[in-house]
Amino acid sequence: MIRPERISISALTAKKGTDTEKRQHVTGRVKDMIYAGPLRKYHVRVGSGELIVREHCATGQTVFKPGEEVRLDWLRSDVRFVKI
Amino acid sequence: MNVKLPSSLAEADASKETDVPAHIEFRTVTKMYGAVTAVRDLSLTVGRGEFVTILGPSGSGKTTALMLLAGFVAPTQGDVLIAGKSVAAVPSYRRDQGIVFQSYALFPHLTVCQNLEFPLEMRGMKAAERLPRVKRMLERVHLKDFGDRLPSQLSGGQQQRIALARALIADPPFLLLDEPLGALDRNLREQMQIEMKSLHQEFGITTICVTHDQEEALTLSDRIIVMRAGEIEQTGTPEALYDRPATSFVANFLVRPISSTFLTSRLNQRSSRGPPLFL
Repeated sequence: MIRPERISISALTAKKGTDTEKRQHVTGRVKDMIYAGPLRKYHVRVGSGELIVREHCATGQTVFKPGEEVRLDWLRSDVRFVKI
Repeated sequence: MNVKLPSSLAEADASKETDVPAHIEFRTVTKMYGAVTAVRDLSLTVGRGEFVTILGPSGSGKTTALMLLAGFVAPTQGDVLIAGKSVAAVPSYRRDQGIVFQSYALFPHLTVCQNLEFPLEMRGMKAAERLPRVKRMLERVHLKDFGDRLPSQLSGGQQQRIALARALIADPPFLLLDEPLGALDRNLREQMQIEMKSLHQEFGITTICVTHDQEEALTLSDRIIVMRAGEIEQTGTPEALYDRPATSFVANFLVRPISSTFLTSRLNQRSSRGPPLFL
């Protein structure tokens, strides 16, 4: 599992960071954006599943709308294995 | 943990029992209600001065654990020890604990001062000694001008503070909290979390809190015990449980319901590099 606040969301066209070796990414389509004051929550369809991304609102962020294609990426070290 | 024991009673306690490491201990405790097992084979220890939260959904056995410790119910099997001594035969009213209930349970017909005096009176303290103590305690919870009011004339947050003050005023050896902030609105809850934390630090009192509120548990506790179906699922510091949950139950439970966040979907998509992702 990975906590939603560990996932970052960006446009497909956005430049990648310098630590791509340490990161994993998938692409998906925004299904929903929920504004919750200090937080934005994205529900993103990825393949047949859905990922939730939680982002603290800050100045200068791109806000994605439902239907837009996005890249989700995270540090490999943030992934946790848990017993189901 | 570095433990501060400000009260004379607690100091007397400590000098007697410095060689006892665990303040509170559950030893393979099982509690059955008829055919239903509420708590199964529960073993845990709580150190002196520690703030431990028992967290779990309803029906997980957390409240039963608190009732066992308070002496409101007796274990079917196993033993509960306080400072190394079995309390199985000690009735609740002799255990000297401070308790805060979710409903506060303030005496509605008594003023704030009389509510605070009550535990002292029950312990045989004279009025001349009681009053300065009540006054000091009211100052500590920032309600010094409210002594003459009835509980019904206080806000929810103020009632909460009085309940806490009443639980602490007789210098109990430990404090039990049952969903202490459950009845407060969100802003007040956050404020009380901070206040309770600083009160705990100031008093250094061993505290057992029972709640289903993840945020409350993460904010207040030195250690969290997650219960599920009468058994302990995982124990650890707030950081450890949130960041390194052992099971999907713990991972799922330790987030606020507003952002239910665990990924149950298995992605079969390959990432750009590395192994397939099973999230």
